[in-house]
Amino acid sequence: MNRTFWRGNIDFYCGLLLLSIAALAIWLVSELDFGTAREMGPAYFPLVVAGLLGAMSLFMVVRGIVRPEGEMAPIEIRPLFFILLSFLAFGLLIARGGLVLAILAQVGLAHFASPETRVVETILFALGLALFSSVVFVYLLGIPVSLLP
Amino acid sequence: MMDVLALLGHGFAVAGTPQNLFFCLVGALCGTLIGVLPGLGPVATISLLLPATYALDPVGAIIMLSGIYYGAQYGGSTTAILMNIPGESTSVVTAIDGHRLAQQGRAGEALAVAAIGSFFAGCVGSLVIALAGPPLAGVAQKFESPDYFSLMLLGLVSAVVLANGSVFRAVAMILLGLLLGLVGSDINSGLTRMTFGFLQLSDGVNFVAIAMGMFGVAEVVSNLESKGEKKAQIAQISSIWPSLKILLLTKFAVLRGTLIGIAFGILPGGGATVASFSAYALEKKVARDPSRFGKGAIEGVAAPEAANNAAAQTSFVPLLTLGIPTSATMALMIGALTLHGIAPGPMVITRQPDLFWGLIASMFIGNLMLVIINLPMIGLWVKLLNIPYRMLFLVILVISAIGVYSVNNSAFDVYLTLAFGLLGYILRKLDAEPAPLLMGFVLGPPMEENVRRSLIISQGDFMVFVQRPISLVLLLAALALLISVALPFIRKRRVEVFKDEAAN
Repeated sequence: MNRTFWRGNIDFYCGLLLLSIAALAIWLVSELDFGTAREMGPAYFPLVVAGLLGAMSLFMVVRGIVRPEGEMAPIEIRPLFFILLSFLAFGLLIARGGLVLAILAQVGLAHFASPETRVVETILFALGLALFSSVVFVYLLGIPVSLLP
Repeated sequence: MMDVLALLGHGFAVAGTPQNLFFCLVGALCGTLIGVLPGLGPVATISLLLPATYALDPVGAIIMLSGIYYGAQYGGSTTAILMNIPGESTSVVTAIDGHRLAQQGRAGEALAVAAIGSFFAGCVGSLVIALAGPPLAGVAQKFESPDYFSLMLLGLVSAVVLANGSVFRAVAMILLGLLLGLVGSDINSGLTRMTFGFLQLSDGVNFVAIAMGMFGVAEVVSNLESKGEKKAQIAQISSIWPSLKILLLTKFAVLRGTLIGIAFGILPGGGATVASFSAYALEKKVARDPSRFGKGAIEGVAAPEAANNAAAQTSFVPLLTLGIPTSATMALMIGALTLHGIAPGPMVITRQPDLFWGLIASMFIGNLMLVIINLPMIGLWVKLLNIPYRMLFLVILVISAIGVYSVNNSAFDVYLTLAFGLLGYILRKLDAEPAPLLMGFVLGPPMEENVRRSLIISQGDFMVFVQRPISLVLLLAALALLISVALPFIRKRRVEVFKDEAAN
């Protein structure tokens, strides 16, 4: 699998990411009342914070272009993809399929996140974790979740 | 003084119940475990176990969670000394001389001095909380909204000092954290903000989801990246009982380390990691022959280990008296208190005496347990070092998924963890640390509330923050701290301090 698919200047990308978050926040609160310093509306504080964040990230973007220093560490797709996917599977299955299926699916998918995992070990771990979690979390700690569909 | 003793006695009665003793032991064991294992820090572990404590009573929960934090200070030294791999960021300096000692066949001595130094420092640190807590909380009760705002600002500036790498990015991370903290309903108008219409977000972003995503998930993904597995050599332990001569030799080093740790724990911007580095630097400075350091000086183990444990205890002082976190771990403790319906602040001591005094008493008990866990049982922990990460990460993933789900029984929070895991991973790659973000997140809502109240009192005049003496002093302290970070001398120290540090 392709180990490095994206490289670049950290300042630029960090600024870009934060700038888009700040812009999103400003857009989200723009319809709310700003108010005055004496009587702050719901948008006052978020706008000030988002404005500061936006200004700082803009500076980062410019600095990244003008003075490109520091490469971004390479991103490896495989562990990231499978770990996130395993959480997605857990979330989708926990309410519909019960805890046991959710754990089996999560561990099964997480298996592919690392080249060092071994199939037999993972199967044993998946079963062991399903049993352990059922006992500890459901019976002992009383989390209201069904074990099986 | 008599009062304190009586209250401490009450605390021991609370902490001494079989149930709380059990939680204390669990915390100490978990702390040692994650301290020994590299790649799993106290921040990730506490966020991992935070939801599980939801079912417990608040006192037991806090006793256990704090046990994890100071327990990790003990465990971290084991890996540092035996394998030259710091199990925790706080034991980075311990590895320098500790591993040299181990190579010279004096591993047992180094481990014993580390544990006994930690024990002494832990007890003194706990005593400091007991003595300094109530008067400080009394002072804090005089605080009004402007003072609180300035205090929180000081807390956030300290997060910048703590952060790894770029100061500029750390400030940006705080702002991002503040922004995330503001998601949800506005207290005054009741209108929802930045929720994208998700009903699940109207109470704000789930704290556990952020902490678990940013620290747990992002850390697992980073750890799984292929770095070429190194099989480290584990040094052998001969005898763990140090001679009286060695203990006497290190008594001043332990004392100096303890004092430094106490100071750094209480002050914002300190924390256990910085304390251990400073203690090592001081030992090197006062030593008659500084060239011994780096070649197996026992003081180089004793002082930093005492310092990190003392700081781990006293960092609870600002948390329990002012409600201000001084580190990411303390931000998690605020989350834990809030989860149990306890508002952190000066009222904790008077309104929750069981919690405050019980926690302090449990620290004495916990430290004693830790010496026993870490010295006679050392062989057990060394065996644990052989567990490969390919098994460990599966356990971490499942427990974190169940943990997040169980807070509100909502799959939405699991997806939220996923999203924050992705964000945390990318930010890590972009050299932006998640710790300041977490502190901003915790302080976002109270900051807004206090700035609002201040400006209502002052009728919109921003000068209110410099007109009140307490507020002015706090603002000046924040300014001084910010300037000091920018100065080249201290900046150089910071780089040194955080060179090997993880996200703690």
